[in-house]
Amino acid sequence: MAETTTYYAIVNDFSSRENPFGVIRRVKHDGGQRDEIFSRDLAWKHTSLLYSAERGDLTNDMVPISEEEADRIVARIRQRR
Amino acid sequence: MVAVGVERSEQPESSNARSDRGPGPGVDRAARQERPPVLTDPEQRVTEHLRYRDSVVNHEAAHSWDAAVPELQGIWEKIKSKYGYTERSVSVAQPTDGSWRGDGGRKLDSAQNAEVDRGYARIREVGEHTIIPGLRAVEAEDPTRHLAGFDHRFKGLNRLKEKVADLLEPRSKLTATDALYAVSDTVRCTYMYTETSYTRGVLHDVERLKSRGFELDKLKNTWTSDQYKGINTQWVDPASEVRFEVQFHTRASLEAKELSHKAYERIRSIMEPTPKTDLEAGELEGFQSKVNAKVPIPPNVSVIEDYQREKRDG
Repeated sequence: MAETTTYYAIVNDFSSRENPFGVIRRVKHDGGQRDEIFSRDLAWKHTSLLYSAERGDLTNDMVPISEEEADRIVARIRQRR
Repeated sequence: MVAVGVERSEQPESSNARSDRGPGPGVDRAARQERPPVLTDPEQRVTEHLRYRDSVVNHEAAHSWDAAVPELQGIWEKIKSKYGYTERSVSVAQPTDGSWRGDGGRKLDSAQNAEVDRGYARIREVGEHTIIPGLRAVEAEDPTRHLAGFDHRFKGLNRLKEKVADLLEPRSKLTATDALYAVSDTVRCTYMYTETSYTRGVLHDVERLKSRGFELDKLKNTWTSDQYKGINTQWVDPASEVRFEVQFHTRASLEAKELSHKAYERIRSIMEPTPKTDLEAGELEGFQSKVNAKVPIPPNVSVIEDYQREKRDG
């Protein structure tokens, strides 16, 4: 199985679908999977937020998005102070 | 399961009257007393038929879930052994400067930590005095289902701080207090139903909670999910603006959640992904899928649609 990456916009009380709170990516490969969030340190870092949402946690909605949209969100986050 | 006289109720009404006259010759009295009653009223017959059908459906659901549990427990034991899990969780050593450190490298600085401590005390107070009594009152309106896991009605402080730290992870202007009040399950409860009473019961209880003055923020029906079966709802007590969560489960879906909880906890505790943790995470998610695949789906549950209230601040 080739490596596949799915991106998710994080939408919660402090954000909207148009202006998401953050972005997560799930990388699946032959040897398993990993989830990473674009963190406040402006780097990709391990997260369990997607697992939480999958288990019914209502704090964040995870909306699948394209890689291009993920890039745009990352660029916006980089501009936040 | 109770046998009833539905199948034999075609007998004429007069047979009832005859049976009241006492046993005839050669009839064993005890056997006659055990014979199910013959229902002659059509409405009563329909009701009894539905009750009987429900009891069969619920019995089969319970049986299929109970039969699956030993194998699922066996799979979990193998995963535990493979990755060397221990039962006792190791608590993270706390710094002495008032800040907080949690699993998975999560942290709050001392100001954030103090904010969460103060807010948590207030939320618990509102929970004890307003929210929980409201949930209890709704429970009392219907004896066919009950609150489950009541001892866990307040989220543990450490887990709450983990969630606050997670919310503060993306770069934003969020304060710890903002994040704290966004966490919806600091106060939480679960209503548990039989399979056949689930759909109707959830719909009724949502309305009952509304009629108590609580406001529904969000409803998520995840009965089609492979990771979690149930319906979770997020509510607000409008006077205090404290959020709380109400989960709606069957016994099987609640036990499935509990059975797979350790896997979820382990996923949450991963700090730095490595090839080994990637493999482990995939396996843990696969385990959760296996568990949830065995949960019987309540009839007609798809009629309960997701709901999201419009944001008050636009």
